Amino acid sequence: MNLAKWKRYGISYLFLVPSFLFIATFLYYPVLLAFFHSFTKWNLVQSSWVGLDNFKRMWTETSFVTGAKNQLIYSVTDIVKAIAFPLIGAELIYLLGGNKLKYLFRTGFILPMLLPGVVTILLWQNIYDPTNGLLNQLLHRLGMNATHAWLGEDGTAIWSIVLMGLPFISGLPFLIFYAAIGNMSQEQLEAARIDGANGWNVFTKMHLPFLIPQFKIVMILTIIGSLQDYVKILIMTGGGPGVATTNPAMIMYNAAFGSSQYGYGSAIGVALFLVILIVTVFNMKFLKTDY
Amino acid sequence: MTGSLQKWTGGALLAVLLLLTLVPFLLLLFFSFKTQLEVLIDFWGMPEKLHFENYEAAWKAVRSSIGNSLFVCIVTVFGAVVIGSLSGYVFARHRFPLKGPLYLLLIGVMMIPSLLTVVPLYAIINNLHMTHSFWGLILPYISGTQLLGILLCRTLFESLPEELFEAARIDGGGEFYLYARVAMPLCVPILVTIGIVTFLAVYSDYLWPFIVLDQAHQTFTMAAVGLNKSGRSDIGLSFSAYIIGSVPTILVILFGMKYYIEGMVSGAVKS
Repeated sequence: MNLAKWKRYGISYLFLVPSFLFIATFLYYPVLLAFFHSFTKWNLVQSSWVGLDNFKRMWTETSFVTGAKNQLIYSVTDIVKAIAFPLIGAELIYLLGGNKLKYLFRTGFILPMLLPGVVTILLWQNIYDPTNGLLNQLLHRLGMNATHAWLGEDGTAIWSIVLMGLPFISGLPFLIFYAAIGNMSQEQLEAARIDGANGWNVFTKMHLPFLIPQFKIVMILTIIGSLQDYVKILIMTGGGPGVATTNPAMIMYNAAFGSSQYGYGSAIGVALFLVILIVTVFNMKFLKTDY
Repeated sequence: MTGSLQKWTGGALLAVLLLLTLVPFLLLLFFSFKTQLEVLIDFWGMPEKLHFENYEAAWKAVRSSIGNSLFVCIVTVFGAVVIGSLSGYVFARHRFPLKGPLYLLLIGVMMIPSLLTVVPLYAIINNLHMTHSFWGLILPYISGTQLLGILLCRTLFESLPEELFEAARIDGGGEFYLYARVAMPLCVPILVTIGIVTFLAVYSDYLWPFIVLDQAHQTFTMAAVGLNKSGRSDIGLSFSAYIIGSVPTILVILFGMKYYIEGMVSGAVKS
């Protein structure tokens, strides 16, 4: 009896072996390695214990401090881009008469999501190109000085990356807001209108409070996402010119894969993970959003 | 009166925003048909004729990389679906000691950002001599993407009636038979959903292939970035390459939409 029971359990465990083998080797083991090697100097072959040196280095290195400041710019603008613009798009479509027209616009705005993200980044890189870029060609057409290397100059590089994707409507937040607005109680809105509320009042007094849960989710996901986002920087500028567009994740990449400082790279990864953890815990404790 | 005025200004504003949104993509289409000379001499002019030879040259330049990407995607999707659904099945239909903690251990993986693991994961792949090999992509991809399969399959398998499995057991079916022949056929729509999500994520990834693979094994995203970097010599060629390389994602999304709608319609008819 007991033997039969354990034989049954054995089959259950056997079925779980592949999942756990993969997760242990390629997820939990790297996490342990990351924490351990954040306290070492590591070139993949040898590692030596350096204590907290890697973490101290972050705060003393000017390039990292610049990266952290840039991160603040990226994160704040990412939040604005993920909330204000998609909301405007969703509200304007909501105001339109005619379901066909609504469908047409909604589909149009999500059309860019059909392309792989890298292709979109490359297109924007092309738009900023000094000679054959759309931006300079347009300025030239308007009779203006059009010789800027937008991604290559200190003053414009980071803002060129920030403005990539203008008008920022296409994407998941747009779909979330659009669906939520569609789910609002029509009777209440109608009643407010009969009571003489104008469009602006309906928007500020009814739509905005109703959408607060969506704002919270989008904000938390955007903060976490922006801390981890360095693919666009890697492709467009590599962090340059100098360190003008870099962020901590980009510095991590360069430390590890550019100059074989895998210990320092691990330490930056751990530090960013802790920030993400704090944001997540803060969210669960105080904002209480589910995602 | 003011209402209709508001609607018109709103509509006009939307049209402008939509145009702005689509500009990069119209650009993509437009320049994919122009020769480099036409770009240099007359940036805004219409191409003299539609230069499909751009597409021919681009196809030659990226076809092997697209093949590499598709290979990695298909093997990953297959692995993630099989392994994920197997675990989902066990967690849904079996009772065994430590079930709760083991499930938490699996789901806890979602708290690990790839940022934390990217550096040591490279060390592991390097130690396993899997750099410059597609397995260096596929194995880590399966580890992460199987989770969606576990979550969705567990929910679905839990909702199946026990009688279904009882009947198969009485007929002498073993546990693997129950999984493969009873449970799996009932969750094809879920498997397709998982497959689509996994395919899109893997096909679009640039960072991990760029870290692990060399030029000889490059994926489409690597080839696309490479085309833009090599002196930006030919916009027509690189833009038509981007379009060709986007065809798999476009097809998968369009196919997926049809699938979702079909699923919803059949569900509505049944109920």
